[in-house]
Amino acid sequence: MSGVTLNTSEMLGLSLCLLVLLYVIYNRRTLLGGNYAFITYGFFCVVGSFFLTNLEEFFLEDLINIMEHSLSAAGAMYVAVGCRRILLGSADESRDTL
Amino acid sequence: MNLISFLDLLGILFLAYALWIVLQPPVRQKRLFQPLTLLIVLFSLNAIPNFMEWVGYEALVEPFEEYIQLLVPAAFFLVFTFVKFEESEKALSSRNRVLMAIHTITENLQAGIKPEELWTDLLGRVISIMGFDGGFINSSEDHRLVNIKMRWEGWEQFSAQLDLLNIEDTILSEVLITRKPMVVQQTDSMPDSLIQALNMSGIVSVALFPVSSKETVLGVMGIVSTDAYIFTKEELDLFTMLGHHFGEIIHNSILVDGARVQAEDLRRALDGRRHFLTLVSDDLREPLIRIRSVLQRFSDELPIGDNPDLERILEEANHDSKMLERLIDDVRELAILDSGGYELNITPQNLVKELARIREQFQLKADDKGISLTLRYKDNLSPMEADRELLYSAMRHILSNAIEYTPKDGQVTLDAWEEGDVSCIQIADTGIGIEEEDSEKIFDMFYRTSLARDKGNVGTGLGLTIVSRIVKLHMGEITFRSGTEGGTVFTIKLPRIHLDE
Repeated sequence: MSGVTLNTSEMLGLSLCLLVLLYVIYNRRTLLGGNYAFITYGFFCVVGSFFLTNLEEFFLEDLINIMEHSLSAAGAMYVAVGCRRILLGSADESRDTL
Repeated sequence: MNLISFLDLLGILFLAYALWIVLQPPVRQKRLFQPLTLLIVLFSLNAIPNFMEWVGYEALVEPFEEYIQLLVPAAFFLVFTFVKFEESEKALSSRNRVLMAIHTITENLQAGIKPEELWTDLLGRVISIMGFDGGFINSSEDHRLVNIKMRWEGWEQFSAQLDLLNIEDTILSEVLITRKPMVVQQTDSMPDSLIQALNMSGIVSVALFPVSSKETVLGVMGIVSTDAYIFTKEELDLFTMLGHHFGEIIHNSILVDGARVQAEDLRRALDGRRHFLTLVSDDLREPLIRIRSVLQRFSDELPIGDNPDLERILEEANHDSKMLERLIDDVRELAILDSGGYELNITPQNLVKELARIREQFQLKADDKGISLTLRYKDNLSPMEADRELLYSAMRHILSNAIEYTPKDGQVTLDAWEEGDVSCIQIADTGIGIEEEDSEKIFDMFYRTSLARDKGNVGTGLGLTIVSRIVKLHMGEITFRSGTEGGTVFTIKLPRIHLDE
């Protein structure tokens, strides 16, 4: 493990993500309900990508790197879907607006 | 292009689509527009270094890469905070609307709506306000289901399926026992039969709440969603509160209904008694008048001078007939007062003038017994408002007792004064008084004090009862005090100004 170098900003980013994750868990009823769930899923993907960014320094760099970028792309997709459903409306909107 | 570059490009395309969404004019009105835009921008900037690396311009963004990485979780946090805030506001708004619905329903309850209709109406409104698909109510008494069908098409199937189940084994009875709300998702462990009932009726999520008052559980209400829905804490709290509110309303309405029935029964009983007493007193009065007339003729025409026994018998018969007549009059008067249908004829009265008139009528009787009858009053007394006939009747009963039970050379004094807006009348005598043991019962019907009973068959035991009823009808109060050496003082206080209000 002597050749492992951890990026400070990536570690800090992961720490921040974990703090926000605690907030999400505490408010899970709201943040995992309805259309907001997609944004939360996007956040989970981002947390996963930060985790893998740090993990790839230790082993299976190529594979984990692919997984990290996959999670980032999935996160972007969830955020896009979440934005569409929250801002442009969806089938679930009737509950929110009635 | 390698796989990683392809994934990065895919991410950037998704974010570009998200950016296109936030650039649409209508979405700018929404509260989440700004935090979501910030999130997309930062997320995009986070993805760009990878893209730049792919196209060979890595050096352009490298200095900012580390900072942008830190800002992405912060942007998510900002979005979540806004979501939480918006949901709390929405819940508060729903809560206020639900409370208003409860208020309206409570008012309707006083107008005589049946609790069952109330139950259905209230829950229907709440479901509509909060935008759920439907609901149902299961009465704990007879397990009957009442449907609150909004947009829930599967009600019929649900009802039919549930009819086939033994309801005691279902989760509904669990809520009844634990008295706690319960959220049921399809995946939760519960009897297969109930899962089948839920599946067939299109229910994916349902929250169950006890409808209970402090004393009893009245049933279970269910809020139905036909898609996967996670009930928020605010919604669960609101429906729990609604269940308790609702339980109290229904429980109170049951009590009110019971009290109303009892009051009706009581009114009928009182009407019956009044009718009976009026009828009896009227029927008795007529033959009594004939008997008194015959007795009078006997006294006038029979040669009784040499027959003292006959004279004594006639005197006793006359006395008894007078007593009977008084009793009948008192019973009749009391029956009318107790009927509740007596209409007060309130007019302004000159209290001093009325007391003077009463004193004049009793003066002869007082003189016969050698009793001094005095009227004292303060000058410039304001006119009082009272039913003249009843006022006279009350005075007559007290004054009659005072003279009756005061020995020769005694004194009876009438006093009149006023205290603010209250007119006060006091009748004091130096008679036999009222013993301590009798003081609590002297206003009871047919109650006669031990000293009065010793004095012989004089009163009917109804006079003071009638007086207390009359004072009560005038919203006044009557008190008395009696010394150990004898003598009684009755004080009547009647409010002067509010009778016509």
